[in-house]
Amino acid sequence: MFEARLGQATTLKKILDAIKDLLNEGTFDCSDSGIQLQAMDNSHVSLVSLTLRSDGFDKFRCDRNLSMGMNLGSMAKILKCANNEDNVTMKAQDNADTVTIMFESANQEKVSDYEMKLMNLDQEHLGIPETEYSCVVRMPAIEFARICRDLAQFSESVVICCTKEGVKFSASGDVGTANIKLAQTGSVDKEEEAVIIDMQEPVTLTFACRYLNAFTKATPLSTQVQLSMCADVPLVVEYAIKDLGHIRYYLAPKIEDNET
Amino acid sequence: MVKSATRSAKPKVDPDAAPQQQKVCSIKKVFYISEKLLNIEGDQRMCLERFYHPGKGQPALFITQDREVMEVLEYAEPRRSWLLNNEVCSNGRTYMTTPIDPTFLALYHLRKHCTQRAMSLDSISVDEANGSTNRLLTKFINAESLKCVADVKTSGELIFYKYNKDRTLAWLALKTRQVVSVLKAKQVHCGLGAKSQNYVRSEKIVDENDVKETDYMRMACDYVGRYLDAGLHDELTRYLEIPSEIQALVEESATAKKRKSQQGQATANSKKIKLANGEDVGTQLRNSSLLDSDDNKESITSPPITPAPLKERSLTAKEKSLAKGAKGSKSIASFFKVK
Repeated sequence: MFEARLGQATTLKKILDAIKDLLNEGTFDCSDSGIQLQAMDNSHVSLVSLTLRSDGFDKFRCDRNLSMGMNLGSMAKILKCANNEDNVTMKAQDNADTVTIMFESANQEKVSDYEMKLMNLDQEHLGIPETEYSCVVRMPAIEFARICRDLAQFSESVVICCTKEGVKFSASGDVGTANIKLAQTGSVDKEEEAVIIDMQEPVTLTFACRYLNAFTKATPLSTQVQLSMCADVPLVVEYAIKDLGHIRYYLAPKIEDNET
Repeated sequence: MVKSATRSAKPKVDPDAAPQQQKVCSIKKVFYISEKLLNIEGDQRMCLERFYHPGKGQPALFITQDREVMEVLEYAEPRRSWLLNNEVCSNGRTYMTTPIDPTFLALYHLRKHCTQRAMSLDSISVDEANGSTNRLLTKFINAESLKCVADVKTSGELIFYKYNKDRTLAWLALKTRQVVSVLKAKQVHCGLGAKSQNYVRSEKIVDENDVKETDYMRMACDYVGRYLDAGLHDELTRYLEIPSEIQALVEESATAKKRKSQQGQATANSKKIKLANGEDVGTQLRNSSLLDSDDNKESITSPPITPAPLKERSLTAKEKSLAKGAKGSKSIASFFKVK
């Protein structure tokens, strides 16, 4: 028996919105430590890793490890049926081929449940090695989303250059070039508005802009985003989900042919 | 069975070849011999003998030792030679021994002589002109196993056998089902058409559906049929109610044309029929007192219900643009290895 209950349906809605554009389907691996999902996008360029800890749920019970393959589009459709303040409960029997998602309004006056068929997905789990990143940038998630949206108008690829002066996002295309520089914030009054750069070595990497834009769908989940970079290693874009876990996007760098 | 080295195996098969090896190279043959035959202690010699092979319709080579019979399989390819030490052996064939149930060989003789009356094994071999039949029937056949295919009558010390069609078919059906389970376990592709062994299927296409229970049955029945004469093979095919491959193809194209609603009904019906068949054969088997343990019954269950195939969807504009954006990036799998 598996049962997980969240106080706010809106969190789960936001999570699904954050991954459903990149992934058509995914396997939720449930264990008594929580729920995990790891999947590559169709083009195998990026990897999504979602971790929801069991202690973040209002109620969590998982008697036996369970893998639930889901069509994420269908799951998102079901979650659209929930009001933002509803309680949401996911339930499945051991070895079940369906999952039940139940929404309860705050005063228990309305209870709706939806049953969704599960899928057998033979997805391989990738081992992600521990990496010491040369640069770790923390910045407001909204700011990052804005930068990605703006630069997407100029080019398919974005160059992220991190030095001790700050972090520079640039794109160049037929229209012209665009450069956005962010310097580390001097005084940290409001943590969620700060830009914090932790740099060991300067790094310059190129990434596909469309993917960065797809990652920013997770912006509603968190006020801050963390970018971790290292030469010739995938970029990690991490959004923390308050009290529950985090969602990490890994993006392989572009092969640079015009760089020296 | 374990492959043994070619050189160690060769002299045992033909011990006289050693002195002649300078002149006649082609007498050397490359054999893969079962360790079971090599490890027998004592002075039991391996013998090459010819027995009538019902599937081939002519005598074929077998290796015998003590009470063991093994079939000799030959793999021949044109323009192939062996290089043994410093010599070229022009006979490029490979021979292999595989275990065989000698009951298959006896079955032919029983069908030939004992359909009308019960006969003892000695008197069957008298009727046969070939001396090897006598050796086969008296030395290698296990009287116990003949109970599966014949009625046994004893009168004093003499034992008489009469061919029993029902028992034989039930026994062959059991053999076929064993082959089916092996085919499934080894994931041998039994569907229509050829398929590469190392072809990796796309995640989206669920292709379990294209290989049906009957395809496995047909393949297994053909395997068993290789050791039966043509008449008995046909009887077995009818007994197991396996439609011919052409018939299956016609039916398949007919169902493909049907409307979706009808198709659902058709598959539901066919499942029922298959179930009924399964029970039918199962009860027959149990009645024929051939099943001595319960674990065999599992193989006679209904076919597993396969999930409906996923619809192949076309990419949305969003996915297309993402795929376009992926160009020029490395694959993430090149950084993270599969656990």
